[in-house]
Amino acid sequence: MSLFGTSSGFGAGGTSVFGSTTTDSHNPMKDVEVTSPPDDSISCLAFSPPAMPGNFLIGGSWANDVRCWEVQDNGQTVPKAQQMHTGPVLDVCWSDDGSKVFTASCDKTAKMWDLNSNQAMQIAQHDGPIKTIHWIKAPNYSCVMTGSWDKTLKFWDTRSPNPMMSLQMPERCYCADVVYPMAVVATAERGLIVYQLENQPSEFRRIDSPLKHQHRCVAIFKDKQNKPTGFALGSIEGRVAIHYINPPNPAKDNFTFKCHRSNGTNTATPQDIYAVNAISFHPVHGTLATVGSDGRFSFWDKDARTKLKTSEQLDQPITACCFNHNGNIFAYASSYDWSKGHEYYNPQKKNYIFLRNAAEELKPRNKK
Amino acid sequence: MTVCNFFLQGRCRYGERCWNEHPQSGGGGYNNNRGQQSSSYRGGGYGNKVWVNPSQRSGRDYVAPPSFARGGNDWGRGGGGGGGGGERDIKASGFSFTAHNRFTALDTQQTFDHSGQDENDKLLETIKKDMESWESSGQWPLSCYSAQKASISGFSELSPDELRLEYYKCRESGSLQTYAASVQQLFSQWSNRVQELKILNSDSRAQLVSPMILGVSSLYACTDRNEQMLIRFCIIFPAGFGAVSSDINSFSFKASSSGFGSADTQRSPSGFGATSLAPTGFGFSDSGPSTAPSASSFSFAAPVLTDKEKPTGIGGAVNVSEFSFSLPSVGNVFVSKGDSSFAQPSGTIGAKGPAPTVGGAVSMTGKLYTPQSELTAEELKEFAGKRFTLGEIPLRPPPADMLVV
Repeated sequence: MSLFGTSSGFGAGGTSVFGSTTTDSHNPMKDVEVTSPPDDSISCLAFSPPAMPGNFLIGGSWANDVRCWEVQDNGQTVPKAQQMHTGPVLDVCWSDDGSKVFTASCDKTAKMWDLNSNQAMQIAQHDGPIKTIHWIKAPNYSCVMTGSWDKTLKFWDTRSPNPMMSLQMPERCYCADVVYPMAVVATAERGLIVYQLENQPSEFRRIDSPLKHQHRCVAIFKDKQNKPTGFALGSIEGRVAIHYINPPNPAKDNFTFKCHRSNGTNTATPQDIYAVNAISFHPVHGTLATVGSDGRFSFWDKDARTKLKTSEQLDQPITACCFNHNGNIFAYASSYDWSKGHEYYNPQKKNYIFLRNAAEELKPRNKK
Repeated sequence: MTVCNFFLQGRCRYGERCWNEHPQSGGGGYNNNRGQQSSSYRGGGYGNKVWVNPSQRSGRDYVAPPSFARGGNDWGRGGGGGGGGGERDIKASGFSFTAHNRFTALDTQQTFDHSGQDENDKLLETIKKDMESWESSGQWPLSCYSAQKASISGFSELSPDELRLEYYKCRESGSLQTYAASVQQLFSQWSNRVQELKILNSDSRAQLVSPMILGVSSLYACTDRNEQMLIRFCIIFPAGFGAVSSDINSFSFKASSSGFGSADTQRSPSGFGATSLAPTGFGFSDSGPSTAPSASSFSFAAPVLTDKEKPTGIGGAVNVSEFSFSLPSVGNVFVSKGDSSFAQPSGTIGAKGPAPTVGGAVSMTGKLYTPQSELTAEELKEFAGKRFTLGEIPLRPPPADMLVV
């Protein structure tokens, strides 16, 4: 990992408030830095699917661009290509065969980026910024699902300018996740809707939110048979709810846990509570990672209900994270998430994407 | 003694008087879970010839079930252990509970009432604690909040991304002033609402929790934005909008010492951006009339609050169905356009929150009291009564002379 420290070109260290004087607090975990990170906050990260050889990382940012890096086995990252939108990019996803990348932006459009030809064409249009985009691969259809702040969820066949289907939501879409045949959308005002995607997408159930505050991120997890069985929902209040769709014992099986808070045991001073910005499940172990506005990431085992690891604090919030297809690499992005408003926004501050070896740390605790 | 077979089937006719043993394994287990004395149920083993005072014997066992059955109020906190235990054990102790019900009716009656009251108190305590922690923790303020199933209104829900997008747009169009002003207004709204909820707990507990009043409030929420009466959800005494700092440019998240995320316990109670924010916006009994905001860009005049029963007020919630910072008049920023979620006639706790009576020309000047001559007979009757009756709450304020301070 010789690239660490050479290509990033970080300037004067020691300006950190939290870290020790020897460590630069922008990377206290000493993880691999991705070269040529975006110039503004990174909103989303996605690794290539298993169908593609090698690991390619896509990151969308508030600088209106989407960048693609190749991540080599020795940890080196090579910037490959870039596409632009006319507004900040809020979400990205890959198609299942790894040939296309879909990007959703505040400019109310979504584009399909063909990596082979490096061409991007618009495939979706909304009345408001598109917050989430997911690729759905069903036995009898394939489409792109876009969730927007215009309170609609639309499904697009990439060949047609009109949506295949448009579903109305009670409020603006804040986050979504898709694992066929289940899709979960969390909206403003604590709305939570589960859709079933077999045959054609339809609303399956509206769930009373287990959380008290604004929803921020959601991720579906699977059971031992690799079928989606529930989801993890994070809020701005430093709390994640684990919710099963059809549990044998809802009161026992569903639970919430606190995370991304300061002052764990010290009850004298009020606790600082940070938002959970993203949740990702390890594709192999089923353990989850959460990243928050406090600039830390944590690994959890939801079955053993324990925390596996918490990182050191970075000097910026962590805004996005994802695992690669085999779970060996954990990528997380360190950039400002607006959790403290415009006052704390420094356009000059460098944004980072870090890669970490995730094979060992996310092994589940042995159940008692 | 022998175990009573009928009891096991749930149909023992003798109940307490039965000469056979009524095993209370479910009740005992449940008591263990709750950490009560574990041997208390043994008294039930003396099934036959029971001349032990039943309420004495079984009262201990079954004091808890009423609150326990509804004990799910702590649904989110710290795991589902308690809730899960309850489900199992209510079932198991099902028969014995009914069997004793006749005898313990007198005893548990009070418990039921108290637990009902306790529920409300607990809820309010929870809300209060949540508000305190929300203020002091530096978590994102523009979020909805709920203590039970439905959200408590008065909180505008905006994600950081939406706010950021607005900032970027304003930056491009050069109207950052507007952005800053709007954000400041949002935050002062939020902090007002938090204060209300904190203080509401100790002053007017019942009003927050009573579904009747909630339902009524939402029923009577006015749709006409120029209408000056907006009976706010659960707040019979309205809080005027906190006075906005006249120096918009000085707004900052780290205003004075009460910035985000600081562990400063000396936080002023008005919270965010509080440099010139007088807490008189709440018009509580000791503070008299609240001051009208000095910022010329906002056209809210805070109503004079002298009576806690006054149904006037400006809705605090901002409807963000169309969130835009329009340059011309900052006061217009939060006009909700054709929002149908306004004034929901459902009885649920204001899920969407009432939209504010914001408009360029909204003002409360001169219409704080209706002269007695203008009021109809029904309205007069309502004002004269001790309490408002459901369905008859007047939409206009009472005359000044009817107000008893």
